[in-house]
Amino acid sequence: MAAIELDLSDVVIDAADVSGDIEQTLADIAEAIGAKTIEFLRALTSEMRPPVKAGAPWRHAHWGHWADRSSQLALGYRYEVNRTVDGVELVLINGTEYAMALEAHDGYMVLTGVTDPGGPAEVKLREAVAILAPGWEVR
Amino acid sequence: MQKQRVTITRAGAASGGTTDPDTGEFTPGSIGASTIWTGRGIYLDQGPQDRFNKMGVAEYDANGSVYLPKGVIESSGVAEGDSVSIVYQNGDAVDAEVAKVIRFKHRIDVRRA
Repeated sequence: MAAIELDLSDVVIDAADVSGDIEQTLADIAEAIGAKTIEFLRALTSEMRPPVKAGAPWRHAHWGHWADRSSQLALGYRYEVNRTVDGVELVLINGTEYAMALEAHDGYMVLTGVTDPGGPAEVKLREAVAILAPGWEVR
Repeated sequence: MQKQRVTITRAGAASGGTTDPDTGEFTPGSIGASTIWTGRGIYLDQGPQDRFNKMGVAEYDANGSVYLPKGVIESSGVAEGDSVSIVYQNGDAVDAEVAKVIRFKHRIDVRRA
């Protein structure tokens, strides 16, 4: 699996920003992480993939090693930040039907590796909780 | 493409789980499959593809996987490496191993401990 190059270092976590509404502060951070993660997943890399048909140009690949044909898969990425009874949730989604088949093929990723447990989005949220809300947990 | 309704039951689990023929809803203890490509193994979809929740119909292709909706996974507790039996509507069954669980909706909860 390729190294994850998603850089969330510019999502600033500063205890001085907590104004009393810790849920809102965490929601704001989750919003920033979600936006940056989706931007990363939609971005093109320097990896090149073969053309769709003979004579067509080679295509830049996404992080998961696949390249656009219709762009529907890339456009299928989205995120949600929801306030819950207990706190905040960040949901990262690609509901495109083709995503399922692509993930099933070895060597291609759509969300796996970036958004699952231990990935950069979760790690960044854990960092935020450790600094801003030590009595909270990420799971 | 051949289509056939199927039920997947975990190997060794008590039999009797069913998939409702009209709604595609499953009874815990069994798993209603949505799409099956016979062959190498079973791939389980935990994605938000509601269409598959309503189908309860298997679609066969040459190369091999089964996709199941999130609710099915959560109720069944099926995980990678599990042995399962695919029981077809006509009573035939084949054994398979869950090769991969695919997630298309990742939720990270932040809550008070």
